[in-house]
Amino acid sequence: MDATHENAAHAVSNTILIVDDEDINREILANLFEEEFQTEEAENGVVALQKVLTRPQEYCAILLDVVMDEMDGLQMLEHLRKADIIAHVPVFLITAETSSAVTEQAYQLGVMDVIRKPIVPFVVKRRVESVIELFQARRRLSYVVEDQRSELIRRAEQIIELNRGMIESLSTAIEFRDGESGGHVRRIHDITKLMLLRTELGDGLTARQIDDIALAAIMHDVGKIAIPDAILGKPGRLTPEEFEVMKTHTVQGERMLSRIPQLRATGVYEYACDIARHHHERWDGGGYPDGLKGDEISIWAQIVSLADVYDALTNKRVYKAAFSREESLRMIKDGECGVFNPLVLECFLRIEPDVNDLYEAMQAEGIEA
Amino acid sequence: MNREVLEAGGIDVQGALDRMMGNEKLLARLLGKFLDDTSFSRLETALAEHDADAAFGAAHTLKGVAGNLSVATVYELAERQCDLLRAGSLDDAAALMPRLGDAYRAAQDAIRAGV
Repeated sequence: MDATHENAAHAVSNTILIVDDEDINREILANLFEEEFQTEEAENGVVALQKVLTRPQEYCAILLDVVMDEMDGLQMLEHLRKADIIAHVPVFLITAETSSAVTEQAYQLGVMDVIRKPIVPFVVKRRVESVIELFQARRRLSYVVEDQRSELIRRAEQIIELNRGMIESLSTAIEFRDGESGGHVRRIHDITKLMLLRTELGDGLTARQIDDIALAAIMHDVGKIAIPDAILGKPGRLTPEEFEVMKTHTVQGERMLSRIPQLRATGVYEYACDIARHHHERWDGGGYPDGLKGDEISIWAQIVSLADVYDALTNKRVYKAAFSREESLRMIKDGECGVFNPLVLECFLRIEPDVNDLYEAMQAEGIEA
Repeated sequence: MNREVLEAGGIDVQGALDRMMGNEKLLARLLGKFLDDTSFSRLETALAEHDADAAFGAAHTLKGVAGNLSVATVYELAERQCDLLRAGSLDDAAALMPRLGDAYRAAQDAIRAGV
């Protein structure tokens, strides 16, 4: 970051506000600080508060008299505390008051220091300037930390984005082989995420876990890379033997993913393997490869299988034309594509209008179905 | 600026100058403003009206200004006034007024003559 940028974004304030109803007192204080600081004066708490509340960034310290006609110093302190300014701008009480009650109350209200009138110049200067220096250093430091933090977040987001992009590209490349475009994996990602975010199926999952699952969903079909072109690209029905080969894309997918050591180290890994292997299982045990039943199938694998079916039905495939939205939903509800968990189905039907909107938006953007 | 005249009027010139970082012009100007300061007359009025709060406010302001300008005689008496008024002794405060008035006028005269 260059110096000008830093200065513009994080200019350090350099104005001391002097609040006292006697201009003699104000001038004496202003005279003390005029070499190193800008000074501004206010003759009572109301005027001073107005200044501070309008431009809180401008002031590096407030020197405050206690006894004033219009809003006294303690009342002003109370206001400053409510506006959360006291934590950022040090306030000094400058007072001829000797009673310890006032001093105690002032400290309780968050005043930095209490300085007696008549003032002793080097004492006032020393106390005020060292606190200002401390606050300025603290503020500069917090700017540096803040800058570094946002830089780290930016980089982390970049890496996550890059990962997602690479996984998506790889998965899309595989999908291309059976004549699909990039839209399919993107849609599966989005449907999975919507289901988890908008319905009770995502209860108990963190936002991070939901992102991981949605990313894992993208990789559900990577095993297809092991399926011969003749089977993958075959128009029309597969023979029973061909279908047996086709079914192995689930197990192959899991095996492939388990061989990527970098993936193992991430939260995505377990989900990705599970989804790749089990996204063709069915609620009644009628799916493959393991014939799992009911809750034996993880909720994310169930979501991806339903999303996969819906997306296959509503879009054109080498072996079939696209069905209409209504027809697709009817086929799913009637169990023509296997039995789904009634709860998952119900949740899906609830968000399906949003999914449809998403599809239309994608088409408008020119992402092919 | 005539130091001797000012000091005879109860003003600690060196102390005041130190407070102004040696700025003699500023001291001269602020002493001039002290002539126009209303806190003493406000104190007189408030005591005449038996208004304890207003009297305390005025005495307190007078004490602050006199202290900052090192008008030592006025400062000491104004401080005592503050203590009396804080304690609610309006009568004692009224009794102290002639002495405070003398000190105040002596300082004013010295400023008129010495600045």
